[in-house]
Amino acid sequence: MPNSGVVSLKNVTVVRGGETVLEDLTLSVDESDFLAVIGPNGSGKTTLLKVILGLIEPDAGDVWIVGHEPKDARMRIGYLPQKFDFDHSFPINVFDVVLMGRYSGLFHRYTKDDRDATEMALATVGMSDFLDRQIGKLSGGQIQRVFLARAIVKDPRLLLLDEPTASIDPEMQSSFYELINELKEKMAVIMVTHDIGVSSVHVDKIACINKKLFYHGSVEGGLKHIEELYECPVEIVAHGVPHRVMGRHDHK
Amino acid sequence: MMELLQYDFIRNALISTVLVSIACGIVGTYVVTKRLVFISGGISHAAFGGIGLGYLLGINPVLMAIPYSILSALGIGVMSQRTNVSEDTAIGILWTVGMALGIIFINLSPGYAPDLFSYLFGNILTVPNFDLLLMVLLDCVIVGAVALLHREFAALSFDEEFAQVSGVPTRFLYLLLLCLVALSVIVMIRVVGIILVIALLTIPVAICRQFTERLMTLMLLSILTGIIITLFGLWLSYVLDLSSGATIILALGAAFLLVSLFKRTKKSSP
Repeated sequence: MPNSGVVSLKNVTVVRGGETVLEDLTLSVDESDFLAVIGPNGSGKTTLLKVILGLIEPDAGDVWIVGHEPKDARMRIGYLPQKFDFDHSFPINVFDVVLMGRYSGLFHRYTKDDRDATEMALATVGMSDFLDRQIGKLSGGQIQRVFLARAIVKDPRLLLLDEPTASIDPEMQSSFYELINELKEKMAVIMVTHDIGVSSVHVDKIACINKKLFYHGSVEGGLKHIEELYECPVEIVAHGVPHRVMGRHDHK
Repeated sequence: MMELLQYDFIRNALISTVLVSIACGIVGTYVVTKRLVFISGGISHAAFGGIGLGYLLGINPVLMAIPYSILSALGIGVMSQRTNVSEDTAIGILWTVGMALGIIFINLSPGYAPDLFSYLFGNILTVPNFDLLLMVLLDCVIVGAVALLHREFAALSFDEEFAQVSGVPTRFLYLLLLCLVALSVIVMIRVVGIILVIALLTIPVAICRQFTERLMTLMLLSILTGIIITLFGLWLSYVLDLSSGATIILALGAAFLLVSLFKRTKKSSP
């Protein structure tokens, strides 16, 4: 039976090429949660996202997204990829990129509702002035906003963010998190990151994974345990901002 | 010029120019934006196997090349999706095996293959009526498929992962796109030949993408540009008494060079 809540993973194991990538992972996310999934490189964070998106079928365990199998829940999930791995000279403008997020099946034309939702989403992320701009002619932070609009344009119940701060300037980060905090009122948010310093300030809960789930709960509790969890962790987990982590949370 | 139009072969040449340009403008837009140039080269060369098989079985070689090139397109696609063979390796294998098969089939056919050269390099002045009809049909298939599925093809070309996550059946559509490439190759074989197909698929789009930022506009502009430059190349080949396929390609290449230089000087001047 599907559990309640937006995301429910139960004893999920993923094996890839003979190697266990995720082991016996149990995790749940409720409405209006902002969860950061933290772990070093190769810890299975991206695999976890792909499991939630239905791109990878787990070898064992159950996954329920708003009461559906992941593949059937895709319409309810907004996804912001880590890399904007597209041809920057691709002949498409900002409006049409976001409109693609309203895709609803073969042969379905985009309707006036779709166009209105697109304008709304672009207004939400503050990119209304760039509707006609060719996508490659924007800065990294602007492209991220457009892709965020594409992720939220269908009013998803769940928003997945894959390393969202990796591709933008530090100055842009706080306004990005402000935006996510507004969106959180309408949808659950899961953010995969290795940047524990910044995320700990903004998120409600954290989950620390390294193949297995080490911790799942409030931010303070997680930071307390972080060194045991990762053995020599702070540099790996939060490289770039170790001082900030140490300074704010006296976890020794 | 008007009395020229009275000749059937000139009329067929003009009609095939338009038909070829339609296929190239539409399919070429995806070939260039989704970077399928090498894969299209593989599909077009593999089609030579179908030409050879046509000779061997005594069937119209262009007709025979249709199932053959569709199967090679699917072969390349499935090999790269389902197995550990990387896409460019799959292309390399089918490209050369297709050509080799074509040569062996022709070796095995009785007699001599007089117009073999025209399948390799094309001859717009010898397009028979039946092949013209075939080109019309294939153009209809291409236009119809893109009219129905342009939203999906755009999503697939722009960001395949996101398209898949949004529920676009990306694997199926990718294979379908390769089949459309195969069909457009067939449309072009008579006009520019297997070896020069890639030029018609890429150059008109490469020229026009410097002027537009919309996919649909790019298709229409590319069709128009294809018609104009192909006709110019055809006229040039007539005046200079040169091979039509090669002259058309050179005209396209020259146009691309001119447009790119013009764009560059315009950009650098204040």
